[in-house]
Amino acid sequence: MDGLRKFTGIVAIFCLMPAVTISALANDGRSEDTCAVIGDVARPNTFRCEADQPLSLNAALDAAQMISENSNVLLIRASGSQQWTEVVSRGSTVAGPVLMRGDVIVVSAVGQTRTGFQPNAVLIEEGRPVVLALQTSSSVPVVVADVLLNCQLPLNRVVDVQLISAKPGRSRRSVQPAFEVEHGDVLMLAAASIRPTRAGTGFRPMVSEWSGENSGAAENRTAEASVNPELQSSLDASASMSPGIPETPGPVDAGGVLSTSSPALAIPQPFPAAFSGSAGGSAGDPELEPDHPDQQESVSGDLSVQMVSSQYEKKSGKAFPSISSGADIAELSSILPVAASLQENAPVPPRETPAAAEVATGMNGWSLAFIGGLLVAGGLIVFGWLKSEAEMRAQRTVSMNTLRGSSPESVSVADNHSRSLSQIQPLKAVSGKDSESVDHSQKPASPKIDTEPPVQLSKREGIVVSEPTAVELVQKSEWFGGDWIRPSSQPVTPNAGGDGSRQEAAIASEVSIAQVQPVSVPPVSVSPVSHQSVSTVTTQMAAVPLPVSAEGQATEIFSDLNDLIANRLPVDLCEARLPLRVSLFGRPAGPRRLRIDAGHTQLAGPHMSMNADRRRSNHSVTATVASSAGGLSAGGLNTGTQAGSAHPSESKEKLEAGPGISEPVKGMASLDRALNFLHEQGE
Amino acid sequence: MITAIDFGCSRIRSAFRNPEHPERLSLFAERCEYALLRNTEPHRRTLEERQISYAVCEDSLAVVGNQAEQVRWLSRLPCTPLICDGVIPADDPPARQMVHLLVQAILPEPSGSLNLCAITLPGTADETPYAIRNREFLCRLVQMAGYEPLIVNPAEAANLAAGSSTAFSGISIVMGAESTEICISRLGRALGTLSLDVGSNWIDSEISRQFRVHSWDEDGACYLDLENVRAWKQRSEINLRHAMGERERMMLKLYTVVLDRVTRAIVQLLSAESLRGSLQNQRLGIMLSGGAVKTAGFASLLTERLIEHQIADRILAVRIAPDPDIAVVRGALIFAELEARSRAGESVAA
Repeated sequence: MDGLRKFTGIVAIFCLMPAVTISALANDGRSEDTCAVIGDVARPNTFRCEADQPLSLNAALDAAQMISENSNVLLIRASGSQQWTEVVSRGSTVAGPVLMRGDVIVVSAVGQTRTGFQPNAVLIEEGRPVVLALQTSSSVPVVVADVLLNCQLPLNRVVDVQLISAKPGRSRRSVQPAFEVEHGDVLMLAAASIRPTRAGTGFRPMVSEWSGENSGAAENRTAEASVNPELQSSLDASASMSPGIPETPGPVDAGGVLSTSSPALAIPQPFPAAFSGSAGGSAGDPELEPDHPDQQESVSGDLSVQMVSSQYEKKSGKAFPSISSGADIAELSSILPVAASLQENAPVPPRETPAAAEVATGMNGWSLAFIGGLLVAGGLIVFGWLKSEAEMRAQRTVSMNTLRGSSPESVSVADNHSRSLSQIQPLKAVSGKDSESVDHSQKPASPKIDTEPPVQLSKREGIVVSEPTAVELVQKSEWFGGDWIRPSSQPVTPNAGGDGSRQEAAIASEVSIAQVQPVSVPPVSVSPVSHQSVSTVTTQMAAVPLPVSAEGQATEIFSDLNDLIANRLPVDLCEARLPLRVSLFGRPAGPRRLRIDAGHTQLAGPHMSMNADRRRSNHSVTATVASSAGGLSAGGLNTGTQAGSAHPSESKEKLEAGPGISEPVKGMASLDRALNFLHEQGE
Repeated sequence: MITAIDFGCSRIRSAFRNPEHPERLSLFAERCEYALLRNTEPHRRTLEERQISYAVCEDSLAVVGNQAEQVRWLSRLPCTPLICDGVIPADDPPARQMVHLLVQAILPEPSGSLNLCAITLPGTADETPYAIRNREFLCRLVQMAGYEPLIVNPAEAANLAAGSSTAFSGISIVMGAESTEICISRLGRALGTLSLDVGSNWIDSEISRQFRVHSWDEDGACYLDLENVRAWKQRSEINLRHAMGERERMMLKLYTVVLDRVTRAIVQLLSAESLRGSLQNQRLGIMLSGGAVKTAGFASLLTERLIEHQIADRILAVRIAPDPDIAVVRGALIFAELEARSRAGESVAA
């Protein structure tokens, strides 16, 4: 009967699947000193990093199983203040820094990924990270409130939630409960936040065990190709931050925390088949097969909100019992406050202990039926994951719009990694006016006006091209001289008003993950748009909305920007069509002649009394300049002289030659000596 | 219409989306030089028979762009660069007009309300009078074509074009004909840039000078035959790591000198106070762009220089960008499209 009730409960859960599902992934909760690895990894989790068993960055990444050859790794220290990023290769043998308690590593895959991953995030509470699995199969996005509620944190008692994200456009800041939590986000409860009361929500204890693949993963890695062995060895030697830490993931094997040899808890991974496609370690391992309804439900990954075992240990002060060691589930349920809360709120039938006992004793009909239902659920999940990434993103975009249509707050940025630029909708409207006509009827449902005070900009960035210097260069007789005076028949919108406000808004809303220093490059004074603004645009590509123009003229401009960035667009090499015959003003300068200093036909006497400066000046006098154009004579000589004096790199060319030049040089050398003699006499 | 022009001292390139097929890129690459011919009837007839565009400049005929190489055999003069040493020549009015001709030829007709053209400037990016004059002249040309100029740094553009795999972070080096640009970026934001007035032309001219690779015109005037040196480099497929022969070893020394300067510049940038705070000893990848980096062994030689200057521990990898020739113009186009996107979003908000 209990089995029937359990089965009907599970069916009900499948039918009434919650819109938002957050699962606290399996955490190694046996220790207070844990760090977390989330992001684009096959197995996001928390790991022990105690003083006696130091855990290196590379070892943690090995355990979490990177899904691409290269990944950007953001390390967030427990205080949240220290952050740094690094590109880590799967082939890297550098151990990396030693992780400390509360560290969170956010991994962003670069390039093609080998397998899928489950969207995840982490909540840092009192320096302890809790990894959350975000179910985004539904159309409603996960918001901060969902996370807090599922973590049993009453909203009215939460003081401040800080968002830290590795994605461009999501800087660290305080977020509201309606803020959308995305894959790879780090939510940090401020110190003044509450201590949660562990009662009354749907978390479920679940722990995991590593199926170690460290050695295999290390073998499969490919080395960084471009750096030669010398550099690599140098890098390796210099990058070993702690001499006591071995470069191989030794702590993982030696410490037993991540080892497969001595699993402390024999409860399988929550979603080995559905989400970690390459996780062969769990396949076929009888010890890792789901052997309990609780775990079977957790394998489905979307049944309920689950709680980490570490909370239990923290509360009870006892080690979390291992199922394989014969611990009684009933006892576990009775002592675990989470289990009690599950009975109150979770849609699953509360009495789970008998079912666990049945599973422990053997298989029966209900168990088979349950397994069948589980397979159906697994199939649904696999089907969902087999959807194309574009479809998933489209759903996420729709859900974001839905959220923002009803959300009272302004969300200013979005990530750049996980969304297609072509699907990004306006997230933040900026203040300012533009001269272009806009179809307001096509504006988004509720564009939010940023009321941040505008940043004072340098006047240099708005300077229009100044007339005099360019006019000096071009003579009126040159064939475009008429157009030169009247620059363009079409009105060019330089920078009046709207651009300044746009830039102000861009700077005001600029997000920087690590508060990087300002650009040291001076802004260009001529261009209507400065480097700085363009760089800003670069960092918030995802925040830029799609054009919604009445004319629809700009839509083709923005298509396939991702393809352009990724160099996937085919290139058609075209041939320029110049006018067949055109008359140009002026005499061409022609190629520059090789300038050769003529040798002194007769050596001059010793110049003992001459100092170096005088000698140098005299040499410069002897240098002559020849015309550069072929066939040019006097005019060319003058032109060459002007060019030589005006050219910045004339010093490169020291030589000069010309027919019949030896005689003047000889004469000039004599003149030099005479002048020098007179000069010395004068002194 | 969104376009981009890379004003290089060797070639002028433009890129834009094909108006009829936005999923394809149209690319123009014209040699930035012209050939001078005598203004005689046989020369004119030859050019007209071959449908070669030419310009009449007083007593000379000038063939500009890619066609200059085709008619070089008609004259003993080597081709004349349109942008000499990174500077628009002040003493060569036809060259300036030819630049205008090329710009008009490689830019599409402006259309729509937003016509934006991202441009990269030749030579070093500083505030010298030459650089200012370059900037204003080229901006004016783009404006005359009906576009709004948007100046971008070549190294930043290259980072945007080739840095997607590294989250647009790292060191971008663009080694062109007359200058070398270095930019350190983090997440697409430039933390510091530096420009060196040395490029592959200096190497070619030094080889030509050292080994007396000269050419003479009808009057006996001597010129450096840079085209011959370039053809030798291309023909010999020289590997800088396996230099054989006197000339190749000379080229290796010259490259070493240039890369020493580049490495010192990187050290200078990395030691800047503002960058130290931002990077926090983070290891950076180097992305190489520009025509000069295509020489075999270039990345390896740079790696050697990095080790020599003891900054190898700050470098993650040294890579050559895919299509290093067009990386700058493609990055400039990305800049322009991002700017256009930003403006479109602004107009929607307004």
